[in-house]
Amino acid sequence: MSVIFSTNQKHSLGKRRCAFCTNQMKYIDYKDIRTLKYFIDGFQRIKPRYYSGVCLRHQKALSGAIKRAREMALIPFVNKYVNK
Amino acid sequence: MTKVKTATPQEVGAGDSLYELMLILSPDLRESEIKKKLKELTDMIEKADGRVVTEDFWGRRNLAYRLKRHNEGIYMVYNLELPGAFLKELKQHLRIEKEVLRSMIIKLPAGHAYTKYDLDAPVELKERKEKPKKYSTKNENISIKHNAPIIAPKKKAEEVKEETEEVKEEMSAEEPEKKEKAGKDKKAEPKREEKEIDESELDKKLDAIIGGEDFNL
Repeated sequence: MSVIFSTNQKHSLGKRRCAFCTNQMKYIDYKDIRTLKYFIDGFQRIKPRYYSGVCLRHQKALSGAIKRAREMALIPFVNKYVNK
Repeated sequence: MTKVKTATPQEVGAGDSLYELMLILSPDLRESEIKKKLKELTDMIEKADGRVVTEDFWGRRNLAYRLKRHNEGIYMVYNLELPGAFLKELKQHLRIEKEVLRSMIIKLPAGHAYTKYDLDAPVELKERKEKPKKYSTKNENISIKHNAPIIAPKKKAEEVKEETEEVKEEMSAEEPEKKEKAGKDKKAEPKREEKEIDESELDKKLDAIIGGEDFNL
């Protein structure tokens, strides 16, 4: 199953759609790092909703999944090269 | 690398709910030791009326950050059906275990199917189209700019003209004949050389005036 995650940046505000709603994903898995990485900053911070266009319901699930992935050392908390 | 074993579908015990258990074991363990550890765990679960639905062995992976002085970890994921009372005991057991670097138990939604992800595959990104550069950085274009015509020398020539004319007017009062000759010569010659010629002619004229018999100081 190939899931398409387009960046909503080029669309106007009215036309933005949640990436999880369009793909009909009910459960956001913390093990699926590849999709989570679309919603993470260069500084490894969770992207705000106004950048990614994710709806509130999925943003909450997404942030939970990212935090779980961080806890299990799949995703770093901080970009280690920035601090040095 | 990863192996997924799915248990045969059985009737779910009443009151049991689905949990997902993820373990990070220390990388110092050998393969036989890992198998032994995991078997102990599954035995313990089955003793407490739990059931292993799926098990997924990820193997060695680099950690995103150091855990208890280890850069690597051995990952193992279970989907379990557990009685709620046993959950606390299991957590306690995993916390005490030395070889377990970290563990996490999550409650899954009902009817959740385990999906496997290949995490090491590179993330696909759209290729950027390279735009042609507007300005070429070759030396040719730059050299042409420097060769632009310079306006300054024209002005100088005009200034020189005016000076010479003033001198001529002074001269005309005393010797009108010479002035006419000089004027004819100037017209024939190109403009740029005017100054030098004038100087030489002026010297001659001055000598003639000073050396002349009619001139008295």
